[in-house]
Amino acid sequence: MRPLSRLAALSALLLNACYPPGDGKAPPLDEIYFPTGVALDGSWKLDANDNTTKSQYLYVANSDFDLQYRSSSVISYDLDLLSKVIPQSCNTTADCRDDKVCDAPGTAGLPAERNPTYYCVNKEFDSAGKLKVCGALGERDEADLVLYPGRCNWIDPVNPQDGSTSLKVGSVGIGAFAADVVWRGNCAIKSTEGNCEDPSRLFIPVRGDSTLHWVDVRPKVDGQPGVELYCGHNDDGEDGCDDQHRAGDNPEGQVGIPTQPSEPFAIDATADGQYVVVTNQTSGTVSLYVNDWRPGFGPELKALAGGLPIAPVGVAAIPEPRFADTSVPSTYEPAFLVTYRNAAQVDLLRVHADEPYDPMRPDADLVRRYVLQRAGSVPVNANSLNFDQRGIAIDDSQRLADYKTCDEQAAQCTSANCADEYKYCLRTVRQPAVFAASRAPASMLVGALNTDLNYASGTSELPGFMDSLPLSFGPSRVITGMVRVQGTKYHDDGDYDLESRVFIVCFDSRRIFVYDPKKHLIEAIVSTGRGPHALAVDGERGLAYLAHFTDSYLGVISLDQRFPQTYAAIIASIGAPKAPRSSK
Amino acid sequence: MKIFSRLLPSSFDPHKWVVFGLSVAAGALLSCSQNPVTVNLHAMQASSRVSFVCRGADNSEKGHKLDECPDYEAGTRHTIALVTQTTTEEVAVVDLAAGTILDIDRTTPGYSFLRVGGRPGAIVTTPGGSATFVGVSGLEKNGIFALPTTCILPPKDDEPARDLTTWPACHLSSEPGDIAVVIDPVMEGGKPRLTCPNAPAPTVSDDLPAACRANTLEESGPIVGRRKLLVALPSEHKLILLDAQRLLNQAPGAFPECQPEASFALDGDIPASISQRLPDDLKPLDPAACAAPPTYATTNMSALPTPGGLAVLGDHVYVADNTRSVVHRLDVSDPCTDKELPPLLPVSFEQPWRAVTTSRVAVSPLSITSKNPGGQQFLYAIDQNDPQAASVMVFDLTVIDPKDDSTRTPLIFPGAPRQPYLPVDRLRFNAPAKDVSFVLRDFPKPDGTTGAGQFGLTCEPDPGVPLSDPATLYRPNSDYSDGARPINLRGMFGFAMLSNGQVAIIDADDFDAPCRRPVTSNPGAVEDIHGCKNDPISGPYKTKEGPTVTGESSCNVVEQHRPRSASLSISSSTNGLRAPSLRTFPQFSTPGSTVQVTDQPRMMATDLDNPDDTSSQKTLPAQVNVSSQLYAHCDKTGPGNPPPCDVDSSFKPLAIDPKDPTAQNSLTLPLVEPRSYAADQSPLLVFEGPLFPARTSGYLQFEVGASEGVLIDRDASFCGAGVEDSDTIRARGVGLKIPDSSLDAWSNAHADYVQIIGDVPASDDQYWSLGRGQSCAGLINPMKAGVAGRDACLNQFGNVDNPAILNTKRNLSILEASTGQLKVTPQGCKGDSCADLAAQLECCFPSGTAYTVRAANQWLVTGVGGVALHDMAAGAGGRCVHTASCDRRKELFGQRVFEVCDPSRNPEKHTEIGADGKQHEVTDFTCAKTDPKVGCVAGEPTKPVIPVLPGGPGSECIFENLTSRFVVYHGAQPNVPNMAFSWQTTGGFVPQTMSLLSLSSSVSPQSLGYLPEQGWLAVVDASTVGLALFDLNSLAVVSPSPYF
Repeated sequence: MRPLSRLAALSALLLNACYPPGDGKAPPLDEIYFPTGVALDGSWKLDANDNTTKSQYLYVANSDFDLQYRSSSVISYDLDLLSKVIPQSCNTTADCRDDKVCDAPGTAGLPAERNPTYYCVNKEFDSAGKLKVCGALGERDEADLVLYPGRCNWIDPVNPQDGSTSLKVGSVGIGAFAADVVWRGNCAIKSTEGNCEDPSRLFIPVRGDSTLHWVDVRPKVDGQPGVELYCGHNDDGEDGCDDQHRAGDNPEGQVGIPTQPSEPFAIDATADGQYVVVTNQTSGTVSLYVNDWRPGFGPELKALAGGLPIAPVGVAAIPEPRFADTSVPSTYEPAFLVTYRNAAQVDLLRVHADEPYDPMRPDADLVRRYVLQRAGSVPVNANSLNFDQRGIAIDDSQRLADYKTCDEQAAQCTSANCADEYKYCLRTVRQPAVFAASRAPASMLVGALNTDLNYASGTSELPGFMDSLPLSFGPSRVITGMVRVQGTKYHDDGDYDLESRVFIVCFDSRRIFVYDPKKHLIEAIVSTGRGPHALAVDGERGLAYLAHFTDSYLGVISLDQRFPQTYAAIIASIGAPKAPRSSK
Repeated sequence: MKIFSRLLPSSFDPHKWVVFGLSVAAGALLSCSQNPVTVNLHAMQASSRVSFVCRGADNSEKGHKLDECPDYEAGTRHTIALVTQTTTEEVAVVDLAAGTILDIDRTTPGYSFLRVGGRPGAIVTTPGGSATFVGVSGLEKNGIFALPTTCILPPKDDEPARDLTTWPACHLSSEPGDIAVVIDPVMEGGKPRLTCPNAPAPTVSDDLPAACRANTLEESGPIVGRRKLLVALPSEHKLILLDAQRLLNQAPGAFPECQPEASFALDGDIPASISQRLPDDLKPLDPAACAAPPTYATTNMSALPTPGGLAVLGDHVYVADNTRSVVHRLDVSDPCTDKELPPLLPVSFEQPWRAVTTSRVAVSPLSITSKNPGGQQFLYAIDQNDPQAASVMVFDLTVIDPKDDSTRTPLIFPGAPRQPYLPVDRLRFNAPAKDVSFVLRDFPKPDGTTGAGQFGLTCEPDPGVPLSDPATLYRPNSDYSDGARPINLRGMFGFAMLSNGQVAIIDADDFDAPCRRPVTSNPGAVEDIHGCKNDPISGPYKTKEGPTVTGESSCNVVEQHRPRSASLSISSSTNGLRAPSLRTFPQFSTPGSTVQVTDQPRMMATDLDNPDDTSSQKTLPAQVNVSSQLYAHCDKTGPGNPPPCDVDSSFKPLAIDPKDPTAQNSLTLPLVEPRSYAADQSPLLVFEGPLFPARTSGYLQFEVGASEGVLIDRDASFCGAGVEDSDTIRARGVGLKIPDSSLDAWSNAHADYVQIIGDVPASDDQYWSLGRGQSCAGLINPMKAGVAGRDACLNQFGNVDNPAILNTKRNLSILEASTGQLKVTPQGCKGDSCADLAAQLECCFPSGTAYTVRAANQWLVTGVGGVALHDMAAGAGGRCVHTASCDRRKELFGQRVFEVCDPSRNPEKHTEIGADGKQHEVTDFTCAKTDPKVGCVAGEPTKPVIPVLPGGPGSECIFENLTSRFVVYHGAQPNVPNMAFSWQTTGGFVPQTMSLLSLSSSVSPQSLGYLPEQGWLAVVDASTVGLALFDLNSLAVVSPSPYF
C-alpha cells in the first residue's frame, strides 16, 4: 500500500472508529462544547386549566468538534429552573414580580442616567451607585458584547451565580461529532393528566463512529422526582453510551444487514418516534431507523435510500394527514422531505413495509421488510440558482386549524350529504407550509405541500414553492415555533396568545431571521454571537435557546412580543463562552 | 557536460526537471504579481423598492414631474433613483443621468446613503417630485420619513451632514405597509383645502422649515390639490390618510405621532357564492352530469382585511389583501371620505375552495385604440399562495357591473382547451411572481399626408385597405426589421417579475396583434389548422407587394394576457426553426429484432376536415414542416386549390398511403396553439407503452386464497397518471363503434395492466433468510419447498436481463383503478391457478420491486414534456374516471392510439401445444370488429379503404391531440410491446423575457419600476445586482446599470 493510501486508510479508521476507553482525555460532561443540537421535550401541560402543552427539559448535544476530548456529551437542563435565572422582560414595574422593578425609563427610584435594559431588577446598586441590572452575574464588558450579545454575563448552569439550584438535570457521554439531536416521547403511555409517560428518547446522529446513538430519558431509578438520561453506561467513568445504544454500526459485519454510511448529518423522526431518518451527506443516501419502544430495545437501521443526489443535508418528517374516508383504515405510510446541497430539488422519501407496523406485534419487526424510497421529487425553481438547499421545516398548524373547522362544521351540518361534505372539507384544507433555507442566493423558500384531489389525503405531499425571501448570507437551519403576542388568553404568567413563526439561522452572518408566515414578512432579525447553529423554540415560555457552535455556549432569546424592547434579542447566555483553540 | 551528467542520479529525467522548473518559475511569477485585482464592492445591500425623482441640478427647492427628466438639451435635470436598503436602514441614491451611485457622506469609508429610522418598506414620491416618503418599521420604530428632494444629494460644504435628524418624520401605531400618494382636489377659497373635514386640528404649522424645504402645494402635477399619503397599516386592518405637506413641515429630527386626517377600516364584502364567467369552450357539455363541488369547505371568508400592495390610477386606489379574498377598490376622488366600492373577488378556477389572497397589484392605464375607442383597462394581482408558484390574476376593470358579481372575478382566458398546461384564469410562470407592472407605449408613424402621428392605431392587415391609411404603416416589412414583430413593444404590456430573476412580458393589448398571423385566411366560424376563424376576408393576406402580415404559423401567436412570444413563429432558412416543425420524419423501431418495412406498422399523416362547410373541398391537405421544408399532401396543385397546393414550388409532396413502400412515416402538427409545444420535444409512440416510469413503491397484497388483490402505492396517483381499467376504457370502445356484444371482451383486452419489471430482492437480503421470502419456494412448488426462495422466484417469473422482454407471468390485469391502489389479478390465468400465482407474486415481489402500468393492445404517446395527456381524475369514491366532458380543458388531451387494420389481410395465427399434447393453431388477430384486440377496421374485407380519410371508414381511429395528428396502420406481423415510433419537434413557444441572470447568477429581485420618458424598466434586486435598468426598445440592460 502506498504511503498516501495508508494515511487515508488510517484517517478513515480514526474517523469511523469508536473511541476506546482510556484513550485520550475524558469529556467534561457538564460543559457545553461545540454544541450542534438542541431539543426540547414536549407534551407536558402548561396550565392546569389549559390544553396548551409545554416543555420541561432542554437537551444539548455537543460535538467535541476540535477533538480535544475522546468523546462528547449530551446534557439536559431544567427549563423551569432556567427561566428563573434569566432576566424577566418588562415594560413597566407592573410586569415584574417578587418586589422587582422594571429597568425602564421613568421607573421611580432608579438613576436617571443609565441605559435601560427593560429587565425586572432588584433595586440594588453597586458602590458607585450604579444599578446592578444583572444582579450577581454582572454586566458584560462593552467589548465582549460584540462577540457575545446579551447585557449580562453568562450563567453557570451547574452552579448558578445567584446560588440557586443547578440547572443541569443529567448528562451522558456519546461519540464525537454529534450532528444534531431530536427528542420523541413514547405517547403510547399517558398519565391521567394526559402527559406522555416514560420513557422518552433522544436520537443523536454521530459522525465520529457513523452511528445513531439513542438515550432514554427515564424517571430516576432511585425514586426521586425528575428524570435521568440513560444509555447503558459503559462504567468507564464518563457515562458513555454502551454498544447497545448505538445503531447502524453492524458490529458483527452480518451480510444483508445495512450499515450506517459515513457522515450522518440531519435527522428527523415521525411524531410517534417510530421512524427515524438520517441523511448521509457524503454518500447520497438516507438511512431509515425503525424504533422499538420496548425497554431494552431501540432503533435499528432497516433500510437505506440510495440513488439520491450527493449531499442530502436537510430532512423533515411530514405530519400525518387525516384521511377523508374515515371508514377505510388509514394506509398512510410515513414520509420525509429531503433537501440537498448539490441538487436543485426536494425529494419525498416514503417508508414502505410489507405489512403495516402493528404496535401490538412489534416482534413481527424481525421479519418485516422495510424500504425507504424516493416517492417523488420536485425541482426547486424559485431562485436564480437553486442547487443549494439546507435545512427544511414543515408547519402543520394551519392544516390542524382547518381540520378543526371541518369538525366544527360537521357537528353543525344538517344537510343530506354531510358525509360527502366532510370528506371534501378534509381534502381541501390548507396543506402544511414548507420552509427551506437556500444559500444561492441566500434566501428562504416559502411553500406548501401541493393540494391534489387525486390523492386520498388531498395532497401529493410534494411541496411547491411560492416565494423566495432574501436573507443575509449563510442560511443553514429552519425551525418553526411559536412566539408570545399580545392577547387575552389567560396564563399563569400573564395574558397572551401564541402565534406561529419561522426562524432561519444564518450561520455565516450571525443572524436569525424571524418570519411571520401570516403577514408574509420578516418580522425581526436577531443578532447573535459567533456560529449560531441549532435553535429550539420554547414558545410557551416566550424563549428560544440558541446553540453557538463557535464559542460553545447557549444564548437565550426573548420571544415575547409584549415586551418589544427585548423581543428577538439575546437576553442571557448559558455556559461560559469559549473561543475555539484555533482562534486563540 | 558529460561530467556534469555523471554527477546526477540515474533516475534524473531532464524533461521532468524542465517542467518542474517552469512550474516553479511560473508560480513565483504569479505569487509576486503586482497586478492590482479589481474587486467590485457592493455599495447596496438588500435593496427592496425604488422611487424616481426628477431633480434640477441647481438644487432648486422644487423637484420636477418625472416626465420633465431628462432634459437632453440643457442637461440640468437629473433623474434620481432612490432605492431602499433594508439591511442598513438607508435609502440609496443613484444619479441616473451621471450614471453613478452617490456617496452621501464621503468622510466615512464606504458608501453612505440617506439614513432612515427603521427598516424601510414602501417608498413613494409626490407627482411633482418635491419629496419622497419612506415607510419604516421595527419595534418602536414604525413610522414615515420624508425626504425633501432638495436634500437627497450629498450636502454642500455649508450644509450639515445628512443623518436621521435631517428628515421630518412621524411615528405610526404599527408597521406601515404600502403607501400611495393621492390628491385632495377640493379647493376652498381658491386654494387647496387645508385639511380634511372633521380631522383633528393640525398641530404643525404650514410654515416651511428653514432647511430641506419642500413645498408640495406648488407642484404642477396632473391634478392640482393637496398631496395626501394613503398609508396601509396591515396589523390594524386599515388605511390612514396623512397630509404630505404637514409631515414635511415638521421639525426634522423629531419623531412625533403621525396625525391621520382620516382612517378607513377596510371592508370588502364577499358574496355568499361566487362564480366566474365561463367562456363557451369551458362550459360542460352535459352540465347535469357534472356535479358541482360541495361548498362546505374551509375557506375563511370572514378573515379581517389586511392591506397589502397599493396601486393608484386617477381617483381610484386598489388594495391587495393578505388575508381576505378581495382586492379593495377605493374611490379617492375626495380622499377624505371613505368610499369603498364593491371589491374585486380573487378566486381560483382550479381550486375553488381556496381562499385566494394577494400581495401586490398593478393597474393599467386606459388603453384606447382605433379599433377600441372605449379602451381597455386591467388590474393584475399576484395570487401569493398559489401552491404551484405565486401567479398573476387578471381583472377587467372596464366590464365591472355592480349587479353581476362574476364581473369582479379573475378573467378566464378563452381557448383554455387549447392551452391545458396553463391555468385558465392565471398567468403562471416557471417561478413565483414577485411584482407586476404595466407599460403603455406607442411610436406613432407620421401620416404621409399630414406628417402627424396618431396614437393608438392598430396595425391594419386587410390588403384591401389603401396604403394611405396610416394603420397600414405598422405592417411588417419584408425582412421583419420594422413593423409588427416580437421585439416591437407597441401597445400595452404587462411585466411580471419572477423570483428567479426573469421578467416576463405579457401581451395585454398589442397594437400590432392583427398583423401577427398566417397569410391564409379562414372566413368560417370553425378554427382551421392555424387556429384562424371569422376572418373578414376570404383571400390571403397579401398584396402585389407582398404579405400584409407576418406569415406566422398561427392566429394565436399573440393572445391577450398570455406571455409574449420571443420570436416570429416561422420556420424558414432566414428565421430558423421557430414554428412547430419536425426535425425528421418518425422512425420505427422494434425490440430485439427487425421487421421488414412492408410488414411494419405505419404511422401516417392524414388529411384534415375543412372547417368551411360552404367549400366544395371536404378535406384540406395534410401538411407539416420538416425542418424548414414544407411537405403537403396535394392531389392537385395550382391556383384554386387550398393552400399550400395553390402554388407549385413551395412544398414537397407528403405521402399518406401506408401501402406506398416509399412513403415515410409521418404526422401533422396542429398549429392552432403555439403554446402547446415546448421548445424541443421528443415524443414516442410505443405499443403497450408504460404510463409512467418504473416505480418501486408498490405493495402487492392478496388475501390468502384470493385471485384478486390490490397493488397499493399512494404516491403513484394512478388516476393522475391516466390509468384506465376495463370500465373506463369501455367508453373508448363505444367511441370506436365496437359492437355491444364485443364490448366486454374488448374492454378486458384493452384495460391497462401492471407489469412487474424489477428483480426479486438481492440474494443477501434478509427477506430470504428471516422474512416472508422463506415461504416463496413452498408457494411455487410445495414439493420443492426446500429450494432457496429467490431461486424459486427467478425460476417462476424470470429475470430482468432483457427488460424489453419479460415473463408475462409478471403481468397483472387491472380490474379497478383508484387513487392510490389498483385492484388486480394475474393476467391470463384460469381457475385456481390465479390464486396460486397471486400468492407467488406477492411473495416474490415484496415492497421495493419496480413495476409500471402499461396500456394493452394499443399505442401510447409518451415523452411529451413529462406531461400525461389524458382526462382521467379521481371521481367520487376515489375511482379513476373520465372527466373531459365536465372539465373541457382536457378535451384535446389524448395519448392512446388505436390501430386501423386492413380487413383484406389474413388473420394472424400461431401454433401451440394444447392440453391434449397436440399442436393447435391459435388465431391471435383478425381484422374484424368482433376481435377484442382490434381498434378500427378500414372498410370491408372486399373493399378496404386505405388511406383513412376524415369521415371515412376507420376515421374513428384518426388520432389528434394538441401536438400531433396521424393514423397508425396495423402491420403484417403481430405487434410486440415496446415497438415504437419516435420523432422530434422543434420551434415550440419560447416566451419573451428580460433577465437579470445576464448580470449575475445570484439574484433575488424584489420590485419593478418604470421610467416612461426613457422607456426603461427598473428591477430592484436584493442580492447582487442592486438596481438594473432595461431598455424596452431593445430589451437589453441600459449601461452603465446595474448599480450595486
